[in-house]
This record gives sequence, C-alpha cells and structure tokens, in this order.
Amino acid sequence: MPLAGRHPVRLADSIRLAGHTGFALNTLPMSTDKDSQTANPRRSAHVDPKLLEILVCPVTRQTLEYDREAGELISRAAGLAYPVREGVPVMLPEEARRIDG
Amino acid sequence: MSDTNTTSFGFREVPREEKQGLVRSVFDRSARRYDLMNDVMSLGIHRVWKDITITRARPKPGERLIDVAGGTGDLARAFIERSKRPGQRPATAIVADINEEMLNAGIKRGQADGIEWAVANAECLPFDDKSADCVMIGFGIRNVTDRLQALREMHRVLKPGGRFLCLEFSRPVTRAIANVYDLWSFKAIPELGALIAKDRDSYQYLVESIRRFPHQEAFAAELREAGFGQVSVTNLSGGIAALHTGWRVS
Repeated sequence: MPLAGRHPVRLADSIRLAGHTGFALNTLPMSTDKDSQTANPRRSAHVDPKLLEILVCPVTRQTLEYDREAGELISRAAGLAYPVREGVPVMLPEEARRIDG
Repeated sequence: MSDTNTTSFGFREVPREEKQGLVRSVFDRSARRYDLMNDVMSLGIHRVWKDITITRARPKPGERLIDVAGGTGDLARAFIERSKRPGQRPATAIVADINEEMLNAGIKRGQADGIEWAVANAECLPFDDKSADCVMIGFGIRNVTDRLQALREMHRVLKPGGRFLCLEFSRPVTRAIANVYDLWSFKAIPELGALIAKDRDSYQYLVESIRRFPHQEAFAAELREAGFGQVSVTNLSGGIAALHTGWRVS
C-alpha cells in the first residue's frame, strides 16, 4: 500500500506549496489564524526605551508612567492605564483600563 | 465635513462614530492576506509606488520616522534600509496602526532592527510634539474618519523642518486610464477579494473608498489647511495613486 501511505504527504506538500504561491491560502486549516496570537520569541515583552521617550497619553498628551510589572502605561491625568501586549503599547483609550484618582 | 453626523464608508453613509469600527473590521478580516492582496490588486505596482515614496523621503542615518497606519511596516523597513551609510547609525522607525492585527502580521514577518510598533489612532497620536524627522502615511489616510484632524496630528509630531509624505490612491488624469481602472476596480478587485481573501465586502469597500477620496488638488489644500508648507503632488501611474508631500516649516 505505498500509494495510500504517500498520499497524505503529497497532499500536505501541495498545500504548503499553495501557501507560498498564495493562491490557495483559503485551503489552509483555520487553525493558522492562531499563529498571530502566539508570542514572537525574538520580541521583548517590554516597551523599548527609545519608544518610551516619545510616547505620551493620546488624550492629555502628558507623559506616562511605565509599570513594567503590570505591563501598563499609566496616564494619571486621564485616569487610564494603557495595556502593553507583547511589547506593543496599545494607545487607545477604548482599550485602556480605568484607574481611580 | 466634521459638522455633519455621517461620514463615508465606501459609498455608504454611516454615523461618524461607526466608521472607525467598520474600518477596523475590514482590516481585522484582511490582515493576514493584506500584503498579498496589495500585490494582486495593483499587479505589484504598489511596490514601485512605495519605492518612489522612500526615494522622495531621502532617509538619512539617525533619523526617526513615524509610519502612521503603517500596518505591516513595509515603508518603515524600506526607510531604515535606505538610510544606511557605512559607519553611521541607521534611521529608526515607529510603526503606528489602529489595528493590532495588522501590526502582529508585520511583527510576524520578522523583527527588523530599529522598528518599534504601537497601536494608535491617527486622529490622536500618542507621540510627543516635534518628535519625528519624517512622518509617512501610505494608503491609510483614506480610512481615517476625521482626515483633517489626522493631518494636524501628523504635523504636530513632526520636528520643524521635518517632512511629511502621503501615498494614496487618487484620480486618473486621463479618460482612457480612468476607463480601464474603473473596469479593473469594480469588476476584478471584489472578485479577487472573494477568491483570495474570501472577503468580497472588504475589497468592495476598498474600491469604493478610493472613489470617495478627494482629488489631488483638493487633498493638497487639506494639507495646507493642516499647516504643511511647500505642499506638492506627484501623480503615479497616471494618477491612479498620488504622492503628496509637505514640510513642517516652523
């Protein structure tokens, strides 16, 4: 039964090949959607210091406090804590956590 | 524009507060195939347009670029690459995009030295005044709800003497080009979107939003209104796209 044994391999190869040419991407299993959620090992979980230098609160334009432990950029004036996800600051008020005082 | 309660979403009028969410859903859906679809839709020509944009930006070592609506970061990568000189520190870039999925797609393509990423709304940029040598927006301004506000923000974050470049679809300058282009964009692009990205609606939106965008001179006037000086327009591929440039004078 060599034919039956070879068949899945060839099918998988053809899907991979199709992925490269790009024209049959929708034949890929939907689980590849999850790839974008997985952490990139080459990226730090922290905000780069050079980026921090120029980041301000988009609402008040005031400087931010960086809470490395919590992974949040805090705007006291706006009462908002902006999340940092995989080192990427998410500077949208609608994504931020409300903080008191 | 800003005193009405609706705004364009392709050919539809939608409440202003809904546009951002609608645009976001378009890019959430198309993020993974975005680069591929750009190649298909423009027959690869968007690469030439972007190359012209980078040449005009004249990247220099040590400069800081803010690439607004920078998506997967191709302009930022090219800017850094083109800034390299022997023995000097290359330029750095911040890719800002309202869509986290687009940034993730860019990060997945490989981390380039000198690129940082931030989720941000072009209408209220989270960057300090006068912090960039160059600000660019490539095929992004069309999707912004309050365009003038976004232009003012991009002017604000530029250093005095800094330059602004905006690459966007525009108006074909001859009837012949317009006819072929109309056929291609209304007949072919939604079909290709359905075929490749399985998402006809998003690509239907793209072609409609291009038609709703102001023509070359009208958009140049908006740049001046936002504060840019020495505004100039370069038509690309007969006006299918246009490169608008301006400077922060003081």
